Amino acid sequence: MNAIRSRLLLLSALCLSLIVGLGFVGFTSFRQYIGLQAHLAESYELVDVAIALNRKTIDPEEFDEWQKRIAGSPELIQPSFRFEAFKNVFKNPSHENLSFLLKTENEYRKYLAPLISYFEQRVHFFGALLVVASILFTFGVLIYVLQYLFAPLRELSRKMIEFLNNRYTYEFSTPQPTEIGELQATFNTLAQKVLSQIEDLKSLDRAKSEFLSIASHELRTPLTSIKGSLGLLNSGIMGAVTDKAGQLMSIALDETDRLIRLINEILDLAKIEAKQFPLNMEWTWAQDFTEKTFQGLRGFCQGTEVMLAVDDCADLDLYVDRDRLQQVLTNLVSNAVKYSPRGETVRVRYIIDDKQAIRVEVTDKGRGIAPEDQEIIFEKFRQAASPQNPLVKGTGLGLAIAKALVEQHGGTIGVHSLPGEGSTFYFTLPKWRQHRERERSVS
Amino acid sequence: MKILLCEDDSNIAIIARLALEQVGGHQVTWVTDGEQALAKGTAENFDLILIDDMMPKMSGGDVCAAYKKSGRATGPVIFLSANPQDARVAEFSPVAIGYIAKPFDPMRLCAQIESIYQARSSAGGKKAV
Repeated sequence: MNAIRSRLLLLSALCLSLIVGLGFVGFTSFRQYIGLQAHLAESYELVDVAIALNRKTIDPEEFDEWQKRIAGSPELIQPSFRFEAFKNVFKNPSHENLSFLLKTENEYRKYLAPLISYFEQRVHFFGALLVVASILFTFGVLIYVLQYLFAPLRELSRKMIEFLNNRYTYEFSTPQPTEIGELQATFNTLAQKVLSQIEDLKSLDRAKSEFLSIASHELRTPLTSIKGSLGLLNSGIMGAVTDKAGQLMSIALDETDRLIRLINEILDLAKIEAKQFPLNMEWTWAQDFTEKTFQGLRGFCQGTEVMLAVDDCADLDLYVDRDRLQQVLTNLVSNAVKYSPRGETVRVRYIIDDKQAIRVEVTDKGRGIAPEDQEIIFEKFRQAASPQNPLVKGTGLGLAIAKALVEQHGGTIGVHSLPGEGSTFYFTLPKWRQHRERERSVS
Repeated sequence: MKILLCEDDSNIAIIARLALEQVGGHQVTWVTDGEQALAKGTAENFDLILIDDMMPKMSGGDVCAAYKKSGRATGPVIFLSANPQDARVAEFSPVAIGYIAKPFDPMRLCAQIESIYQARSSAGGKKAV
C-alpha cells in the first residue's frame, strides 16, 4: 500500500507539468518581446544613421561599419522594402530618400507597437499565472501532507499514549488504505493482542484466586468436622472419656491443629505469592503493636518459663499492615521462645538503622543456628535440625511467610547467629516516624 | 439465644449444633441452604444467624444481600467461613457483624460468638475472633 506516496507523486507531477508549461509559454513570449524590442531599437538607429548621413555628421568608423553590414547581408533589415529605403539613403542621402525612409520606418513602428504590447501582456499574464501556480502547488502539497500525514500520525500517537495509560479508545472499522491506515491497523492488532493477553492474565489470576479459595474451603471443611468431633468428644460433654482415650484424642487434636496450621500457612504463602494479599498500611504505634503481639503469645509461652521483653519504643510509629506484621513478629518471637532454655528472656528491639530504615531485632539465648543452616531456614519447608523439644514441631513455612511479608513491606529479613550463643533475627521496615500521640492507633 | 444455623455440610452442622446447644445452651434451628435461611430468617425472630459463606446456589453473602434488600429486621449475621471475610463483613454491615474462621474449636465457638456480639455493641468492631 503506497497510496499516500503515489498520490503525493501524482499531485507533484501534475503541478510541476503545469508550472513547466506555463513557464515555457511565458518564456517564449518573453523572447518574442525582446526580439521585437530589438527591432524597434534598430529602427530608431536606422533613422539616426540616415539623419546623420543626410547632415553629413556621421562618424567615419560608423559609416564603414554600416557599409560592411549592408554589403554583407541584405536580410539584415526586414522586410526588404526597409532595406531598399535605407540602401537608397546610404547611396544618396537626399531629403527625398530620407523622408521616404522616415515614412517607412514610421509605418514599421506602428506595425510593431501592438505586437510589442501584446507580448508584454502575455509575459505579464503567464508570469503571474506561474507565480500563482507555484504558490498553489506549495500550499497544496503542504495541506496534503498536513491533512493525510501529520493529522493521522498525531491522532495515532495520542491514541497510543492513551493506550499506554490503560485507556483503549482506538478502533477502526476499516482503516484507510494508505500507509497511515496500515500503521493504524497494525497498532490496532497489536492493541487487541495486548488486551486479549491482559484478559488471559486476568482470567488466569481469577482462576488462581478461585483455586485458592476452593482449595482452602475443600481442605478446611473436613478438618472442621474432624476438629469439631474430637473437641466435643475430648471435652467430655458427650460422655465420660477414659484417660487413654483422652490421651489419644489429645494427640489427634494436636495433629489436627498442626495440619490446620500447615494448610493455613501454605494458603497464606500461596496468596502472598499470587499477590492476593493486599497490604492495609497504616501508622501503628510500635509499643502498642509489640504489646499486642506479646499478648497473643501469652498462651504459647505458658509453661515454657521464657520471658518476653521489649526495649523502649514508645517514641516510634511504624507504617505497616498491622495484622501482617504482627504475623511476622509473632513468628519470630514464637520461634525464639521455642528454642530458648527455661528462665531466659526473648528480647525485641527497635533500632534506627544508618540507612534511615528501622530495624526490628528478636534476640534469644538459644543454642544458635549453624552457619550452613542460616541460609536455608527462610526457604519453604526447610528447618534446621530439630532438638528433642516437642514444641519445635513446625510446618517449615513460618519464616518463608515472614520473609514474603517483610519483602512485601519493602524490607529485608535475616539472622545473625553463633552456635551456642543464641540468635538474633531481624527485619527492616522502610517507613517510620516519631510517635504522634493524636494518631495513636487503637485496636 | 435463639440461633439460626445455615450450613450445607451436615457433619459441620451436627457439630456446630451440639456445640451451641450443649456448650452454650442456645436454641438452634438448622437449615441447609441459603433459600431456607432467607425464608426462616425473615419469617422468625432470631437473636443470631450463623451462615456458612460457601454454599451452592445461594452464598452467605447472597443471603445477607437479600436480607438487606428485603428491608425486614433480622438477627445479626455471623459468617462461618474457611476464607477470611473482613471485606465481606464490611460490605454487608450492619447486617453482618463478623465471621468465625473454619475450622473452629467447638468448645470456643460460643465464646467467639459472645466476643463478636460484645465487640459490636461496644465499638461496632467486626474483627474475627
